Amino acid sequence: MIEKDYVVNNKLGLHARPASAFVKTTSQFQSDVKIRKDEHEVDGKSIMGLLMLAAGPGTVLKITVDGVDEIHAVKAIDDLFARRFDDEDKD
Amino acid sequence: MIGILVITHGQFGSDLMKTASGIMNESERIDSLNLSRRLDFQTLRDKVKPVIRKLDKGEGVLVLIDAYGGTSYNTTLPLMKDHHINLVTGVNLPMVLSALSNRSRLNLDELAIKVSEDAKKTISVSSSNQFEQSK
Repeated sequence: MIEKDYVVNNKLGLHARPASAFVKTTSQFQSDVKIRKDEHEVDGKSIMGLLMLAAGPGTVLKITVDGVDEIHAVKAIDDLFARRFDDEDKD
Repeated sequence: MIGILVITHGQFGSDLMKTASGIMNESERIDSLNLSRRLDFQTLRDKVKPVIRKLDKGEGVLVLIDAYGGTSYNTTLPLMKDHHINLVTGVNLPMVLSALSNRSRLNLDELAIKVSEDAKKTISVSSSNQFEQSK
């Protein structure tokens, strides 16, 4: 199991489009993905779960990845945050 | 894959589906209809039926409707007799997103319940009074 903190680093936070990008990324892996914001934990493969976090810019999310391909899944999540969810200059 | 059809008064159902399908990057077996209240029920049903037939490839169609008791609802409800459809009213963006993201892993009955629960969960009230108190 791997647990890491991430800061939501795009301009508009984890709104619908980044949430969709996140779910598309995590759904490629078998590992379970959980996202925690304060006391609220959601399934990292559910777009509705992500939206319910209402995670704005600067929010710290604790992401836990657990499964056979957890290393690859975490790498993909790292890349997604590094690319700011490919969300800048869209909409 | 379950088909998804949004039926509303006016044009906003088309915009809703366009927005949700853009976010989810989904274009397969989805459609929207805007029903005019100036037409009679038979004419309206004749518009809806071929779209349901087109979307149903055996797993049924989830029809998301704006207002319970409205024209869209009253038009579509009797079609349940002859078509494999489930209706959910009160359509909003989270409901369509939920439908698109869950339709591959649930059956039609399960999907209808899931989208209605998800849509309800995302309705919240934020009061400026609470905001002032937390300052």
